[in-house]
Amino acid sequence: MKVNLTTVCSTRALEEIRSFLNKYFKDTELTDSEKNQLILAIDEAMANAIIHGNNSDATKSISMDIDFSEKRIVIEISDIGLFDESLRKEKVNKDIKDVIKEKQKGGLGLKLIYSIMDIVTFYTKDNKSYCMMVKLFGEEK
Amino acid sequence: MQLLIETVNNILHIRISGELDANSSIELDDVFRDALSQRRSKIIVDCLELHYISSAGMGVFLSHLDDIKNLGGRLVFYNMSTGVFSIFEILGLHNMIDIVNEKEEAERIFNES
Repeated sequence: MKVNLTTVCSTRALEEIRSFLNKYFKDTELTDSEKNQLILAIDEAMANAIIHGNNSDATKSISMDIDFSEKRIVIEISDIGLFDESLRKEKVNKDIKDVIKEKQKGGLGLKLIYSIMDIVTFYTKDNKSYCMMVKLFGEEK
Repeated sequence: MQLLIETVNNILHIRISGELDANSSIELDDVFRDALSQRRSKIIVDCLELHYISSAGMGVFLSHLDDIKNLGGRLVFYNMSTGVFSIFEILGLHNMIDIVNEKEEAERIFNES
């Protein structure tokens, strides 16, 4: 089941994205917990694409492709930003106690994405940056 | 998202309704900034109507946690749904933050401290 969502590049669009995902996952056999976690990971990645990849430029659009099957779900998001690998690792591995001590507001999204998804990769294609997130189900896991 | 704010017995009560994400969390951040600038650091958050929280929402709470403690206050959550609690759990925050079942329990924490 493949689907594409293209919407305005604004954090105001996040609610619409989550609503779209809720409908998309409604008739699947995923548990409520699996649905909620996938929606959270996608919401975090789209928020990163809007804020860090496109500086919240509402004149632009952002897009994601979802390929959902019995064994896995693959989500590809363009213009994700966050291309500095060492910075990504630093954010993901940072102790939550240090996040509190440093009064940081950001950086938790990547932690959530890496905790929820089984595979997260960043790459470029035709001069565009992409993030691909994969969640495996059943025996694939 | 909607916020209902009231102060009772020097405790700031914040009721959050709806979804707390990268867009709506700015408003909540302003509430915390205002409260802390007035040195109000005893804060109780009612999560009954909070249906979703993203990292941006979590970030608001975490970024003010140190200041709240430094002012001698506390941040206590109650009425949290399983879905919202699971997000705290993923980040390992469920053991680091006061999360109780009911309002009375939350208020008792301040009365005892």
